[in-house]
Amino acid sequence: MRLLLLTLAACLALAAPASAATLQVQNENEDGPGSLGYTIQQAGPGDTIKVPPGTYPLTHGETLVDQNNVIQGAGATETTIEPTGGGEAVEEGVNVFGATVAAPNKPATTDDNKIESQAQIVALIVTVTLFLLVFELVRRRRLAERYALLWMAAATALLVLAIWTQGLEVLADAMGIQEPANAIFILAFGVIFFLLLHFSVATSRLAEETKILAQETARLELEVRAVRGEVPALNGDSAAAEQSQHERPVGPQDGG
Amino acid sequence: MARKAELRKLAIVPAYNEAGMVGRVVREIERNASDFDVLVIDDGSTDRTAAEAEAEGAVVIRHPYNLGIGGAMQSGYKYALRHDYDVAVQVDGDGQHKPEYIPELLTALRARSDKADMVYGSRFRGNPGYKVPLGRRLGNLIFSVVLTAITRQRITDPTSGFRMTNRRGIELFARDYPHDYPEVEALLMLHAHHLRIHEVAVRMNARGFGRSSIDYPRSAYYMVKVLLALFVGLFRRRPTPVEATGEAESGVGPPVEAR
Repeated sequence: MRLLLLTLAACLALAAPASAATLQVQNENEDGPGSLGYTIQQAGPGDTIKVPPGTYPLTHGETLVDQNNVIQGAGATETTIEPTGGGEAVEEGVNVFGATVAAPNKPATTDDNKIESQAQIVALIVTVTLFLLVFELVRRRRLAERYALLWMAAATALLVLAIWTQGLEVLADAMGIQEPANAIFILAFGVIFFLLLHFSVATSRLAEETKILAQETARLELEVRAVRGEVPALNGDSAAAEQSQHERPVGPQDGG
Repeated sequence: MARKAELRKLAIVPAYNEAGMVGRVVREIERNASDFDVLVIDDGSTDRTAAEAEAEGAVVIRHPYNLGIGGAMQSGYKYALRHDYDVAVQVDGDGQHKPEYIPELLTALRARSDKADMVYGSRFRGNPGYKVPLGRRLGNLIFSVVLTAITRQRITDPTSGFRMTNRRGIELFARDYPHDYPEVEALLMLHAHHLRIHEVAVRMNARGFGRSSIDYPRSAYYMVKVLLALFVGLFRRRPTPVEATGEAESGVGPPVEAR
């Protein structure tokens, strides 16, 4: 996403008006007039910022992107930029040329990691709970084993994704999907779709079985009433009829 | 096996909340076709349908809840199979079908005993005077065209439920009977199992209480559902093969001739 934006920014920079000026960085200070950060803040849209040899800390780089500014160093071995605050804004080959951008050492990184690991812990708790819930349902015989297997598999898949954070990106790449979140939505949708279809089939079968049971119950109720004499004896004793039904497989029949 | 020389014949009357009408239907059957036993399937009625039918001397099977017309008819065919009937006729409990035609259907079935396994009463065969609501007529026409094409014989009234079958039909329908709107699908089943169909011209009453089991909002669903069933049925050659009884063997002999 960021790459995309920066590429876009670079493209726009190329198309920037000819009125763009060139500004010169004066010192290697972190702040104040002549520093890299100060110069960037002073720059107008499309301006180029020239940086002499040396190592320059960068605290305010955000406006680089907004204004399509470009940093021009004295050479990759001569000029080094050390992002301390605005690290996201500078990228070699995009808006920094002829300079090396050192690895960002801003303290915010640990915050990001903390958030990520917190999310991971939540995901772990949820999936482990799901796993235990399914297990408990099976143990109490509330869930048939074949469905248990299905849900266990689902829980396991989620657990794997919670532990192996790169997994989702690998998955998305394999599916040819740019956004990992979309990959999981598509997968989840597919699984849910087939699950619902399966339940429709199961419901249809249950309805058929229930119908047969109702028919049998009704027939038995009639026979019970006949046996009790509540209704006239049925035409052809049912037991005899049943027997003759078993005996009747051969011989052409009259009428028919 | 000691069998009576005469056929055992059963009239199956499906009825759902038809108190006030079902008694009349039972009476009419006994008056016009006294050789038929009458079985009323009370399909989960909440009124006095069962009591009324029993008072008229019919045997009544009471479903614990409403299974729908398909489930009710199958119940009747199961009873017919279990109690060894040779002929079964369906007569709607709403008074639509006139029992005076039962002897005619029986004559047609027996006269064509080597030609037909099921005869049914058609409202539209040489009987143009009958008035049917337009929607129902249109649906009938579409089904009629489709079924005529599939079975290669003229089917003029595929939604008629006034049907009489022999033992083979009873065996088939006791094992498998379509669900919601079964008449059209049942015809297709008969055809798929090489049971032969024959039409007899009849007149029918307007529905007993002026209500149809298929009202307008549902007709579209009905059309689509049945057409789908017909389409799927074409790919399902034999849903539940009828066990080869002696009769089936002698009957199947030459494959069904295209008429």
